[in-house]
Amino acid sequence: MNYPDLPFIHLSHEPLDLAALEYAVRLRSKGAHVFFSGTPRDKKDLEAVSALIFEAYEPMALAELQKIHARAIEVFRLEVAYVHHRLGNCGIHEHAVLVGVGAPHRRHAFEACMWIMDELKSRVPIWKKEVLANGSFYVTPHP
Amino acid sequence: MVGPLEHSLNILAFGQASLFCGGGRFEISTSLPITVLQLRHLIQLRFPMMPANYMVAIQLEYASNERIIDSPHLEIAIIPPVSGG
Repeated sequence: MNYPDLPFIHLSHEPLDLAALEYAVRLRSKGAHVFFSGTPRDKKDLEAVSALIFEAYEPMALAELQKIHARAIEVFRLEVAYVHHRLGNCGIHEHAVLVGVGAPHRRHAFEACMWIMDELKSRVPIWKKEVLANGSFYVTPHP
Repeated sequence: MVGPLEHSLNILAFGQASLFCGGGRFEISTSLPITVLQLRHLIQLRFPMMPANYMVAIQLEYASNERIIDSPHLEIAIIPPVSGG
């Protein structure tokens, strides 16, 4: 995938690429760049978590992410924003979600990154299971 | 068995909700139109163990309890609490 052609919104069954996303933001925006990476926690209470499995209602997840993306660009006056989420089996050392935003000034970039993640976690139809020694189990959501 | 005035609604179920209805898809037979709230009652009768803390989506958008379902061709989905990120 050419970095300039990186999609702004992406649901991927392959590992996410933070370097590609960082480069794409840098190409398209000058000023302040903020990035967020979410990775799996390796423990549930005292049990080891070996991976996460992400499921999605893909067409609706893309539609909701498009709405969030458009709103973030407008409200926070961003020059660019990328939101990439992993689907399928996500290893414990892989990125589960990446957000990268660029704005002329840092405050809008920080606030936008936080807002995008809050919106994603509250309304985008994606679900995760934790893979434990005795099976995989849906995670109870928390803010 | 679907009666002469009844329609079959195809419902998609995701996440935890899919565990209570035998998979990711089921059908509900009903006359139309009905509201989303009425659909929720029918689902509760069919799958009493399914937690009711889900949202309903119609045509890829979240729908209120007052939203009217007037066609068997709408894409309807059960959206339990999401846990992305």
